[in-house]
Amino acid sequence: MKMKIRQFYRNTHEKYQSSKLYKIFNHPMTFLFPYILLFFLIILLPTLISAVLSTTYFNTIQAPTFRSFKNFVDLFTFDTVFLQKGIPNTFKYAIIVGSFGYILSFLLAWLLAQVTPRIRTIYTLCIYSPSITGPVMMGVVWKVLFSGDQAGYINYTLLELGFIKEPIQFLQNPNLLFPIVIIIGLWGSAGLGFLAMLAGLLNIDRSLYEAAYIDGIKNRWQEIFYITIPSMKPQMLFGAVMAIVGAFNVSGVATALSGGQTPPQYAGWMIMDHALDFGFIRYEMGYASAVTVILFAIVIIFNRISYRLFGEND
Amino acid sequence: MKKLLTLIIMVFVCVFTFSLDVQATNTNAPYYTYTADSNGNLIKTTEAYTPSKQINKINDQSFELLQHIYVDDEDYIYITDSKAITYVEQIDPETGEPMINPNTGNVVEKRYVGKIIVLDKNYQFVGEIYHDDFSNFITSTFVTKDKIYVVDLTNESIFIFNKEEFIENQKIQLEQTITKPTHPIFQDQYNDEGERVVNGYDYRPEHIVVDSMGNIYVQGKKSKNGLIMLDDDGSFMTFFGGNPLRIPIIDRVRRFFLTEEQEDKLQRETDQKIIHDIPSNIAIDDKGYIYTVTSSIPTNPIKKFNTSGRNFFKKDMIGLSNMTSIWIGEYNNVFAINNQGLILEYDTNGNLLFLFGGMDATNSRAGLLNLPVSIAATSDDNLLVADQANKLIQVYTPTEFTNIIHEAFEAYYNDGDYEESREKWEYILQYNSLFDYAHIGLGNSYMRDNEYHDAYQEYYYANDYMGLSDAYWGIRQDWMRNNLNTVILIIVLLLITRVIYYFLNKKYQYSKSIGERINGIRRKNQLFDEMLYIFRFLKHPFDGFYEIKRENRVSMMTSTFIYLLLGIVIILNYRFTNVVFVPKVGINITYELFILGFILILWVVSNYLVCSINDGEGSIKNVYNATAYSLTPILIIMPFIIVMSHVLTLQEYVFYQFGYLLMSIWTVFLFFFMIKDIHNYSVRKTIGVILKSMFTMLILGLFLFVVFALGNQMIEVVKNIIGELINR
Repeated sequence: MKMKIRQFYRNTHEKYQSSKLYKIFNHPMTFLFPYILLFFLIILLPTLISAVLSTTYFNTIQAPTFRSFKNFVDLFTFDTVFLQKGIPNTFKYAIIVGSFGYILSFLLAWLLAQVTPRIRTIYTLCIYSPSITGPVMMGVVWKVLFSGDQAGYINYTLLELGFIKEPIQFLQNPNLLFPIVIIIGLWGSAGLGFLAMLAGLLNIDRSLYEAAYIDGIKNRWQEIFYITIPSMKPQMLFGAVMAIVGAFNVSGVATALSGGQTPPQYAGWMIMDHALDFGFIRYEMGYASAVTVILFAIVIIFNRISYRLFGEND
Repeated sequence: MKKLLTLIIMVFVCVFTFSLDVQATNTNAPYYTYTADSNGNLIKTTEAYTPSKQINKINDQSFELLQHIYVDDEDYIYITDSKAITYVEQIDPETGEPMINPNTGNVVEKRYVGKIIVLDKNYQFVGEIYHDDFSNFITSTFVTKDKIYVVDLTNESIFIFNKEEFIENQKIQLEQTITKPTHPIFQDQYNDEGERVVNGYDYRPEHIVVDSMGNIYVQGKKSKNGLIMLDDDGSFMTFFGGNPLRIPIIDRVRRFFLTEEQEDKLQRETDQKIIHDIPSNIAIDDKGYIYTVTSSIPTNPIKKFNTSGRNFFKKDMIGLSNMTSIWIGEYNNVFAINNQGLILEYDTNGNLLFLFGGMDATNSRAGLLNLPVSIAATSDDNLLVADQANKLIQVYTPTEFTNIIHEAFEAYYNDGDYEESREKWEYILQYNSLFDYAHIGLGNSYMRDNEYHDAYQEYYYANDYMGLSDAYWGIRQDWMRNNLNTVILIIVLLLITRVIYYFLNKKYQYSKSIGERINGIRRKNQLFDEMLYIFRFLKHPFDGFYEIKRENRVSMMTSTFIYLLLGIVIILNYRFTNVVFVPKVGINITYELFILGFILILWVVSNYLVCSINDGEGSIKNVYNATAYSLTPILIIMPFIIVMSHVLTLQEYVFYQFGYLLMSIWTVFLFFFMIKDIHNYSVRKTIGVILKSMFTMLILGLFLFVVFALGNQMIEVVKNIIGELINR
C-alpha cells in the first residue's frame, strides 16, 4: 500500500515536473514577478508616461494632443525663466549642496562612528531629523531667524551690535534669498545617504585597521583614505546618488521662505519649482513633463559620473 | 580704484596743462573734452561745449559775490548776488526825513545787500528782486510755474514771491515767508536757569527744490541728517536722502567692548571728529526725482533719489571730489561742476558723457574758470556757470555733436522713437567713430528691434560685455528657434545608434580590434603612448605618481610636449574664448606666456632645491615630469570650456565658473599630492615645503630681477667706456 502511494506520488510528481505548469512556476521570472510588477507600476510606467506626455499638449481635461518636440523647443527658446533662473539656480544649488552636503554627511557619519552607541543614536536622530521635517521646519526656524523686521534673530543681533542701522530684508532681497536657500539645503543634507554611510562605517571590520597600523599607517587621515573609504564604497555610491537626486529635486524652499507664489525675481527658483508651477498651477502637464524629462536626463548624467567615480569596477 | 586714479591724474593734467599753456589744436576752446569708455577709463573726444559769452556786468554794475544761478521753464535767468551794491536813502529815525551822511555828504549811501538779478533768454535785464527783509546772505533761488522762492541763509527763511507779477510788471509781491520750522527738533532747549541744554538742529537753508505738490526740500549748510523736507506751509515733515555716516571700523569694534557710560563719553569726544558728508547742492527733475551732490565724497558724489529715498545711480559712477553744483537738463541729463572748474555731463542713468573745462587762477581766459559755484542750463542746452572769483557768468554753447547726442536722448528716452535715435547715433559715429556711448546707444536701439547681429557688432565696438551677452542671447534664441527641432532629432538618432552599436559590438567586437590597433601604435610610438598615459594617470593619480617616480614611466620629452600644449591651450583661451568671458583688450599673450613659463621654471628649480635639503626623495626629473602630469586637467578641461563659452551668455555664467572651479580644484589636488608622493612627505611637511618653495621662488625672482637690472647697467657702462675709447 505504502509503496503504491509512493509510486503514485512519484508518478504524478514526474508528470508534474515535465508539465508546462511546473516550468512556469519554477521559472526565475516567477520569483521576480512581484518586484517586476511593482517596479513597472510604480517607477517605470510613470517615467514612460511622463516621457510620452512630454511630446504632447495635455491639460488634464481634454485628451492629450501630439506636438512632437515643440515643448522642448519652447522650453529652450521662449522660456526665459527656465533658462535664466531655473537651470543656473538648480546647478548652482546642486553643485554646492550636493558636493558639500555629501562631504558633510560623510564627516558627520565618521564623527558619529567614534562615539559610544547610546549617544550615537541620539546624535543620529538629531542630525537626521532636519531632512525629514524639512518644509515644516523651514517656516518655523528659518523664518524666525531671517525675518526681515527687527524681531528677526539675526537682524536683532546685528542691530544690537551696531553693525547695521536698519533691518536687512533677508527673505525679500533676491541676492540674499538664494544663499539662505543653500544654507538651509546644507542643513538638511544629512539624509538617507548619511544613514547609509553611518551603517557602512560601523560595519567595517576592525581588524583591518589593526592590520593597517601594523603595516605602517601613521594617522587618522591615512586610516580614512586607505581603509575607511575603500571599505565602504557601496555606501559611498549610495550616498552620492542620494545626494545628487536630492539636490536636483529640491523645490519650494525659496517660495516657502519668501511667501507668495514665486520668490522675488525668481531667486532660488529651481527646475522642479518650474515643473510644479506648470503642472499643478497652470495644468500644462505636457510642458511640465518636458521639464521633468530634462531634469531626469541631467540627473542620469550626474549619476553615471558618480558610478564612474565610486563604482566597483574600474 | 583704477578709475579713481585715472580721474585724479586727469584733474591734475587739466589743471596744470591748461593753466600754463594751452594747445588749442582743433578748436577755440582752451580745454580738452573727455568721455568715459565702457570700462570707465577717460578718453579724449570731440569737443562738446565751446565757451561763447561772458556776462560780467548788468546795467554797468558788476557782480560782487555770485552765489547761485537758476534758469526757469521759460528761460528766465535768476542770478543770486549776495553782495550787490545798492544805494539806499538814509532816513533820520527821529524826524523821518532824508539824512545827509556826514562822511560822504550824500543823501544816498552805498550798501551791500543780497539781490536777485533776472535776465531774459537773450541775457537782457528784466528786473531785480530785493526785499527789505533780505539779509546780506541770500544764497539761492528756485522758481516754479507761478512762484519765485528766495533762500536767505542768515535769516533762515525762505521768501516766496509772485512770479507773474514780477515778470509782467516788475512788481515785487511777497506772498509768503517760511521761517525756521517750529518743530521741537529745531529749537534750542533751556533748563530752569536759562542755560542751554540741547542745541536745536542746525537749519541754515542754502539751496531748496520744490516738488509738484509744493513740498520743499531744503539743503541745510550743516544738516547732518540730509535734506529737510517741509510741506507747503513750511512745517517740518521728515529728513530725506542723507549720506550714510562713515564710522571707522575701529570705533565699531571699540563700541562692542565698552559700557554704556564709556560709550557716551567717547561719543561726545568723537562727535566733533566725525566728518559728516553733507550734501552741497540739490536739484529736481520733471519726474520728481531728487538729486543731491556731495562735495566730500569722490566716488559716487551724485545721488538720484525717488520719493522713498532710494538711490538710483550706480555706486561706482565716475565722479570728482569737490563737486559743488548740479543741474538737471532737458533730457534728464545731469550737469555738475567741481570747484576746480571741471564740468561733467551725465546721461539719465548716471553714465559719464563729457568731462571738460579747467581752472585758470592767473588770468581769466574765456572758458576757464576760477571758482565756479553754480551751474544751470537753458532749454537749448547752453550752460551757464557762475564764477565767484572772476565775478562773471560764463556761457558754454553745445556743439553740433552734442546737440545730436541730445536729440538722440530725446528720441530714445522721451519719445521712445528708436528708429530716429538710431539715425542720430549713426550720424554721431560719422563724427567720432570711437565714441563708445554712441555704439551702445545704437546697440540698444538695434536690440529694441530684435536685430541682434547688428547689436552684437555695436556692443563689440564699445566693449560693453553686458550688452554683448544680451545680444548673443538673442542670436542664440533665434538660432534655436529655427534649428532646435533638428538638433533634438539628431540627439535622439545618436542615442538610438549608440544602443544599436552596443548590441553589434557585443557580437562583432569592434572595440576590441580598435583597442588592439591603438595598442599597436602605443608600442611603436613612445610619445603617443605617454600622452595616452595621461588618462590612466588622471584616473589613478597615486599609482601614477608611483610609476613616474619608481618606474620612469614618462620621459622628459613628453613632459616638455605637455608644457607646450599647455601654452597653446592658454593662447587659445585668450584668443578664442567668447569675449563675454575673457575680454580681448589689454592682454599681451607673449608677455603672459613668458611670465607663466618663467614661474614654471622657477617652481621646478626652487621646489627641487627646497626638497633636496628637506629629505625629499624626488629628483629634478621627477619634479619636472610629475608637475607636467599634474597640470594635465587644464589640458583636458580647458578646451571644453573654450568651446562651451561660445554657447553661453553671462546669464549662464555659473556653468563657465563651474568648469573653471572643477579644473582648479582638480589641479590643486593633484599638485599637492604630487609633492607629497614624489618626495614622500607627510601632509604637514608638504604644506611647509610648498610655502618654503614659494618663498624661494620669491627670493629667486627678486635676485634675477636685481641681476637683470644690474646687468643692464653693467652693459651700459661697458658700452659707454668702449664708446669713449673709440671716440678719443
